Amino acid sequence: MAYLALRNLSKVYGTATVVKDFDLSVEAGEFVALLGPSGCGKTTTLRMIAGFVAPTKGEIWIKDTNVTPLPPHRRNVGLVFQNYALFPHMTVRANIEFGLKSHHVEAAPMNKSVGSVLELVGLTPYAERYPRELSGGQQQRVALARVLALKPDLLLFDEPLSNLDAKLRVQMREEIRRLQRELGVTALFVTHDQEEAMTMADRIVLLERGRIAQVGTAEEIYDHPRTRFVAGFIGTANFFEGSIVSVAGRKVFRCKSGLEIEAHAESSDFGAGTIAVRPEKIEFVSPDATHAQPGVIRQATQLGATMEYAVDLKLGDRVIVQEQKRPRVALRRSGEQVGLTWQAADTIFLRN
Amino acid sequence: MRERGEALKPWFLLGPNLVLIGLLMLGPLLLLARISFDAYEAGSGIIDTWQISNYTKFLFDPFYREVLWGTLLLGAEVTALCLVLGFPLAYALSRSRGLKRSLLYFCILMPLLTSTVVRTFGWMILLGNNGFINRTLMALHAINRPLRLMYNTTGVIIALVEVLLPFMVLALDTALLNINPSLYEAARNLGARGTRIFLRITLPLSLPGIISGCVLVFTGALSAFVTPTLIAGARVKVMSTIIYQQAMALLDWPFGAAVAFIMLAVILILMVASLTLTERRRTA
Repeated sequence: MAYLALRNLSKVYGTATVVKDFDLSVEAGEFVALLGPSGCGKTTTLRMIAGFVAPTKGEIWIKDTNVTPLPPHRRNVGLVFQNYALFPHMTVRANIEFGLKSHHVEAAPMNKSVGSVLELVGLTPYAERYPRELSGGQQQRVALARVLALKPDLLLFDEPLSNLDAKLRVQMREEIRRLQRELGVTALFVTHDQEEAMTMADRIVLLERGRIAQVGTAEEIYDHPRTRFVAGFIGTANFFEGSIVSVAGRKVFRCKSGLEIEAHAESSDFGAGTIAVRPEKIEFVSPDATHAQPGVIRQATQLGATMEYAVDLKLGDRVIVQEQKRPRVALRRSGEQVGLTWQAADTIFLRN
Repeated sequence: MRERGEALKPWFLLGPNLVLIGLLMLGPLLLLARISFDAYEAGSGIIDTWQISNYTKFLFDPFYREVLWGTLLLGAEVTALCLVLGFPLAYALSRSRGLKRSLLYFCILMPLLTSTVVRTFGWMILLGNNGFINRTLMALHAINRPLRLMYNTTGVIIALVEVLLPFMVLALDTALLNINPSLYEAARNLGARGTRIFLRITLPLSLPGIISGCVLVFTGALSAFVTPTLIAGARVKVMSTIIYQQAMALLDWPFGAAVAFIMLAVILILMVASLTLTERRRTA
């Protein structure tokens, strides 16, 4: 059986269903991201696992124990809060000791644990400081050290990086990941930042309005999204609505605008749906090339290493194209006439 | 020029208050301070002089020392009771939201909505020998003889706790609301339970509120005049009744002024001590 198993977990507040039939298995040592827009139920799920919210239905199993009826203090699950929730009237050391004392750990082993977690997060010189004397990143580390000292069965992070500035966020990402790997601890973290989820997690659980939209590695979800929501939430995509029809024995996707796209679809795929094409899969060719869709660039945006162009096709659709900047190649300009082309294999058919 | 204007702004805003306090409080207080060093002689009245016998008379007379001590003890008892009764109330208030909070708030403030005299008469009706409480208990045969609830400190404490409790609750409520609720969750997540969370998180973090509430209640109890006079009459002597008696009945203004300043000094010392205590904790 899985290390952590959520079975049919649901939470209803009055008439609002916040989490519905949440089923998930997490293996030991795995790092899983709960990703989704605000209000998708990711934090509620985390709080149910920590024991602060009682599920309306379903069970939570950790290491073959049903923890659903257990109160928070008997779960051995470490939670790192979004605002860190450090005790402001206690030093770093006292913050870390708080949990150990709650578990009646004796002085000698306690000091050893405190020393080792302080070293682990690199805060040994700051042991006697108060939280307000530390930077955001240091406070985050104290929050982490505080739960690691208890050797939790499961680590939970609630938007752990959202209060840090961009540079520090990238640095903490790597640090959290390194610690988690070194300690081999199983961890679940909640985020609304797809980049954070993709760079950190072994697996991503994408949530939409209280339900799991898709579970998989970053690559699986990016390349094979199952719904339009998933394709739009992870990365960006151009969507064409229409339906698959048979034209002279070939399958062709005919858009409402009249645009025809050669579809890469299973033999069973037929009928109305949406085709998604990632902006980096689209190439520029000359406007009169065969099979190219002619159009005109309406907007050119700098993204750093890449350029993003908004192209209006002759048939009316607006298409977003991303192109890597290359040495000695001039950037395209707004107003330029272009042709667009892409491989059928790079289209994703999403049934309605 | 603009910078100077900015620097003057706080003084401009404080101005009206400073004038008011200076004219109506500090002025009379200074006059009173001067009077406390005058002498008084029955028949000839206040004699303009400089001497400290009013102060020494108070401090070396066992009767007056007893009154001072009794007043401080009364203040301490009222404060302790308000703290013990007020904490659960403040906790409930800080945890409730919306309509429930408004209703609780209103109920807590209710004692402040009636005048002291009316409220104290209410207590007399309840606490008297022939009052509601004693009659009920007698009718139930719980007691044979009426309990002494009036004309002693018990009655004064009951009535003072009632009127001063709101100050304690509001001070504690503010402090409790300032505690980030995720700290309680963090404590539970780290394995702590009720008592430990209360002793290690709630209590230390609400200490500023506890101290300001205690200062408010204590000074309120010490300076109360109407309540002790009406409920205890001549049986219980507190500082404020002594001051009133000396100044108004015996017309010995110098001695009355000296007693008032001794009380002011005691209150100031206690206030400064407790406020430095909180400040030190905050900057520690």
